[in-house]
Amino acid sequence: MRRAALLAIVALAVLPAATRAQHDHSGATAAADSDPMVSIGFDAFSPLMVDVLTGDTVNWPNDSARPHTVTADDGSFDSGRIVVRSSFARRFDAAGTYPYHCTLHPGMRGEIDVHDLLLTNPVAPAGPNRPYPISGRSALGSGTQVAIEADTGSGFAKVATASVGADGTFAVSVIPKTTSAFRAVAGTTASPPVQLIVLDHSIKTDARRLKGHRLKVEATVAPAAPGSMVVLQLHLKDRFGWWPVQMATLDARSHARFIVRQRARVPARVVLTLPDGATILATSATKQRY
Amino acid sequence: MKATVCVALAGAAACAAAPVASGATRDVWVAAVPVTWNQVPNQRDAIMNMAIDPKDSVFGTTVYRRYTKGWKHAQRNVPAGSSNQDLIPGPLIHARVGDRLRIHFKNLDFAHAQPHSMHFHGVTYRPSSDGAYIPGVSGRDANVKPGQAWTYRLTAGANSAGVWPYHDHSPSMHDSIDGGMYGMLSIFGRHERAPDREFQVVFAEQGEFQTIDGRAFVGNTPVFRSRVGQLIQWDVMAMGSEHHTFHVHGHRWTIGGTARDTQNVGPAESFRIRWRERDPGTWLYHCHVESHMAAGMIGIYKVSRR
Repeated sequence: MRRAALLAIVALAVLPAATRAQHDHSGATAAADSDPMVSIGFDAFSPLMVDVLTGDTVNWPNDSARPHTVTADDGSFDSGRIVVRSSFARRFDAAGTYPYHCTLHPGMRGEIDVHDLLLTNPVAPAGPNRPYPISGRSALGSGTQVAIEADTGSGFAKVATASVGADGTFAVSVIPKTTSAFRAVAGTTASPPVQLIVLDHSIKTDARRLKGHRLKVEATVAPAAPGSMVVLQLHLKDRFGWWPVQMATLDARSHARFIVRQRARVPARVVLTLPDGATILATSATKQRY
Repeated sequence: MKATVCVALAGAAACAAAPVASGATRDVWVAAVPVTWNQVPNQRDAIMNMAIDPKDSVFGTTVYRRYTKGWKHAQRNVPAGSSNQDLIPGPLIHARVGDRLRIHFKNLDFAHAQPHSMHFHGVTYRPSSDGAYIPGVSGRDANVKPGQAWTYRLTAGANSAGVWPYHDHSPSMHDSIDGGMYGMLSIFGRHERAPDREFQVVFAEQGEFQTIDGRAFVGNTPVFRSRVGQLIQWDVMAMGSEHHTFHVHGHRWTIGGTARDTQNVGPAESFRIRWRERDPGTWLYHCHVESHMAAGMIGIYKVSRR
């Protein structure tokens, strides 16, 4: 596994944050339930990289079966030995990049990226041309004007302006047309981008049986999205839900054809996805009979 | 059910060299290839009815893949009927006691540009087929760079019967084992009957999830199938840094005359279990470490009446 590609937060499922907070490493900053958290595993920190706001306190619970340390590469902080079921917390008061490692297990590395502006990751996809709330947090002070910029593939451009409230948060409504990256900008300060998925495509399908228990499905996506990934999914009892059985790339006509061997007649559909083949951008009607 | 066939238990250590009578020479073609892997393709923990976001389950990695001679055409890693899973673990490599194996390995992972290797447990070989990187000591076998190839020459000795791990032991091994670069040797006795069904179960922690064959939660982990009357064999091993307990519902087997329905397996340990199937139904198999099961280490075993 390329570890950086995985966002692993297994500790949350194993030991509630409130329980961990009772075992804070002596001398460390007190941690609150809402603080950003990095689980210390047997041989890895997870997630490896975390974006936090200036002034945030990061909490590192040791969820593994052996001691570790959280030690800045530049020596600016050092947890000392964090024993099992204990934790370490540190407040970050200046924007910047803070790589760190475990001195007991040198292969264990992580990074805290501290920003003066942060956007909240959208939790649900948006409809095209419909209002969608974008929110974030700022360390720049109440009343700061924040530009919300969107990038649909041709560079960031301003789409809205928000004002930072007394509690350091800001919120604004945007009207996205298509899947976009958003960031917040104030002067020369910019937040890391977040992605907002917009369900703005439709998929027409045609399914028919071929000889030899084969199923043929043709799909056309509108508006045209040549080069995009489409996936044929079957609803399989063994698989407890929709299961990807074949992937394809839309051709120049925004069209794709699937042929799979499938004896039983089961519900079928085609989904348009991000290049990961799993994040759904559009779903066809379900074919029950073919 | 009660086991009708004995259990062959294989330890973790590589066996000592043993003289072997002439047997077959088996050529196997394997490559390291880049893939986009989804640990949870149905995007849900069906038992807890919880959705799993693709950003938490999809990542780029490198896996072992079986090929035809000369690495011409990619093939499935597992024989037909053994599993509805592919790519993790790597090719199931069969041999019999007395056989010689020539594993032709090529690194085709130009995407990540890391060296890889294959290191085999349970068989006899010279140091040039160890595949384990030792700075200043080991050769090309332990550091196969993208575009390069190496042939590992192995012998299945009298004490090689059973199932054994193989895995990357190159300088990139820690990341690549986390990512699924492991597989199994399945070595039958010289005249031993091959099973009708052979199921591979590899327990490994992988990021947020506890996986079986690189997948997490029922439906995503392999759905194994058999019929009443078939001789079935479970090949079980663990990779990573944690211990696991293999459990199959509704069935028992014996070790040294003692009935078991749960069995320990630690990192790079392996064992095989055989029984004649006689209990139709849909059963669970899983690791019985509770936190592992909750994080995905659980699957379905279906036995039909005929």
